Amino acid sequence: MDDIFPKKKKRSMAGLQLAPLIDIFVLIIIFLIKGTVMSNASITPPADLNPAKSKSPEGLEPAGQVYISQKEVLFTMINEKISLAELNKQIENNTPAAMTGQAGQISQKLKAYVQGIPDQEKKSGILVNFLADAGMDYKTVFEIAKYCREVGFQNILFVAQGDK
Amino acid sequence: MAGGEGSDGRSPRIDLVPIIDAMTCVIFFLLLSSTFVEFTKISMPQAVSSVVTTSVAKEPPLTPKLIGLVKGDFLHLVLSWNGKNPSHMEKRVKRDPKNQRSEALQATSQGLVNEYKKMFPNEPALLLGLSPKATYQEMISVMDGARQELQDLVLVSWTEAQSAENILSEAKGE
Repeated sequence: MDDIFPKKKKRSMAGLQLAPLIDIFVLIIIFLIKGTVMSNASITPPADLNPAKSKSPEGLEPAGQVYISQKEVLFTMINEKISLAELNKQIENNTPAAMTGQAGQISQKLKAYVQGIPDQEKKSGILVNFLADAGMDYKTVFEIAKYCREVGFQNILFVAQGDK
Repeated sequence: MAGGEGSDGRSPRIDLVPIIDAMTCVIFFLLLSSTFVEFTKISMPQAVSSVVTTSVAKEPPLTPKLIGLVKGDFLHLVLSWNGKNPSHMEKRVKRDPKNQRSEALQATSQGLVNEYKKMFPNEPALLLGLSPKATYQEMISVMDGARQELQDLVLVSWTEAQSAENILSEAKGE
């Protein structure tokens, strides 16, 4: 009888394996957390720079940085620095294209850097964060900001340290 | 659940787990990527033509300027404008000897721009400059105050400080 009417075997309930799903979710959550952290730009000024203070609630934009301390000017996007006196002298006497020596090399590198930025970023974002020593005189700040405009930076964001 | 044949050895069963994983990834990808694309719709008003019969003289622009002048221990903030009736306002703030952030400077700058904005509420931008000897901290404080009232600030050269000096000396001469 068993051969003619074979007994139906009990089917086990179909179970859903949750382990791979949990794996994927863990990856997505990590990706989202990391993505949010990465979008917040941060800057680390040189030790000899005493940053100005501000109560403005605005955040930083991810972009290259220019640090102006009492002795030198640091361009982080091209990883170059020059003495403040030398840059001031060159700015007073020449346009960026006509600058010589180290200032001339920096101008060329900055121009190349600006040209390398995708057009979409140029349209939407701030292109350079500008941080000067709190005691730096307005003339120097203005002239270096003007120099940055002349080498191709369209937008300059003046940065200060948050004052709580 | 390893796929292929079922436990009875005949009916094939489809393993759904990988496809659910893949679908989850695809859904998240689509959700995230959709936020990056922003469509904007601009509706333009219908074009109309008009005939101007009289020659209306355009009013001269206001071009407001806020200049910070260093005079001894004080920073004089001069807000001047052109237009039909050029005029100016002036306030002074004691400079911080330690060059710390000054609430007084920020508040004075905000107050001046606020008064100006009450007179000319439609003016969107302000030119801002300081004496060559003014500090970056003072520039930031003045900007912080002015930006509370007007968002568009345009930095002008330190040479503009001379024009503010002239305005002040003319005002004193009167």
